[in-house]
Amino acid sequence: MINIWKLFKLDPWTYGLLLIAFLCGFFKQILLILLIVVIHELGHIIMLNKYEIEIISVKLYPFGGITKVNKDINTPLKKEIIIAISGVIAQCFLWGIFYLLHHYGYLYSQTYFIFKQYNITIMLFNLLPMVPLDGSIIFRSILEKIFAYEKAYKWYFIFSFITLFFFSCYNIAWNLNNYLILFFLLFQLILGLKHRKFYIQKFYLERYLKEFPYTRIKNHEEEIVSVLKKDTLHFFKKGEKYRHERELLREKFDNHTYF
Amino acid sequence: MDQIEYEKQRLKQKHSLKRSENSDYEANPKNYYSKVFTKILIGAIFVLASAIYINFGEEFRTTYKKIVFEDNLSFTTMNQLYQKYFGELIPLDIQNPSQMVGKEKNNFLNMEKYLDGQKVSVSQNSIIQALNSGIVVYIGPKDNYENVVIVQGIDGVDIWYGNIDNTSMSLYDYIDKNSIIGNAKSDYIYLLFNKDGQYLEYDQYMETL
Repeated sequence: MINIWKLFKLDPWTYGLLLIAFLCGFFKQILLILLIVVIHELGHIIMLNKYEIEIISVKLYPFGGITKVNKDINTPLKKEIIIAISGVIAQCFLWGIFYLLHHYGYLYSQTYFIFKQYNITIMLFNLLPMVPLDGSIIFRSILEKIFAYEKAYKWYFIFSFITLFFFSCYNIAWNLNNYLILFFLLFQLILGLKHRKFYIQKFYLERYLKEFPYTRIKNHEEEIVSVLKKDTLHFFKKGEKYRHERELLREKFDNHTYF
Repeated sequence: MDQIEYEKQRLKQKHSLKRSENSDYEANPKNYYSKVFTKILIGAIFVLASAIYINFGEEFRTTYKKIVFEDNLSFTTMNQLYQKYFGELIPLDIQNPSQMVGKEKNNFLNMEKYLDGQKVSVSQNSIIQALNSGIVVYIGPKDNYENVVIVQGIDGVDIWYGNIDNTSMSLYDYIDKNSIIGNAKSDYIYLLFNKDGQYLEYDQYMETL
């Protein structure tokens, strides 16, 4: 069993927000928000632990947390979606607990209504298809189910940009918190774009070096690497024979074409 | 081979160094105890400094008592300052069915001076509504005022509602103007308006609204 509490780290911004919130008298509100965020991340941690994926750290930002993991890009899509959605499911469980507490009169109704409002807001925000959020992972997994990895990656970012644009239009009014969130999202998006070549090469290299539980087999007439898709084993036609995708990848990596 | 062994040892040392930075008891008991001891000493310094300050004279004793036991941090001023420059800290537009807003206005019959505030006659057990919106900073008994609800108003005026029964809110709730604070325990309540240590009259305060 891993030591969960040692994984959690608070961002300096979070300390600042806690201090300001306490000075402004929002004790209940800020503690509820932090509780929701921690439970959300715990949901992810439980599923990651079940699939035996290494967790590097969990960082708590003022209005959400980010779990850093050491995960293969070729992790099956089913697992990806379950991990992404587990945070929201954990929030639903927390909602259930709060509902029961309120129902049996252990909780002030005002506390419950504040909790409910924040819980729904955080849940919906997390399901938006923007880059570091859970919704984007679900969206990306659906794209990867349909398209090849490179194409899915491209569309995933284009769609993220569009969503971020509309989201920032909606949140245009001057508000320090909103702007911090927007800049954080933009930063993550740019970081993802800058690292795109790395991720794509990692995707190919993983397939070359490791065995994954593929669920489908697909044959191709032409020999192009960029058609490789998650969850699928590919064969390429060369003359009369069909070649395993690993042979193609060996040519790619052993001939020093990229490095 | 020697090179590899050397590297291994160097890594081990690095690892152990990292562990010693940790304040956990297991990693480094000496460091742990020194930290606990420092915290105790800081506490002792605070207590002794307070004792010395109180013993300077009666004046110091009253100011100390006022600062520590009576004054509240001005949450509403901080909140307003923050809102002015940075916008809303936490969205508060939450529809709360439990926070009832009264329909009629407070019906104050007669007022007379009582200590620093006023004693207001009302009809028996009538419902008392908040005169201004703010944050609840105290609920409980106070000397000479019986059961008190203190609301720190958004205009920086603390309003004490004394002799109140059946309070429906909890501490640090934000309440709106005219929301119900509670019932009068009998046929009178106490009101006290405190702005930065100065006491205001009811009429004086209502003019500022």
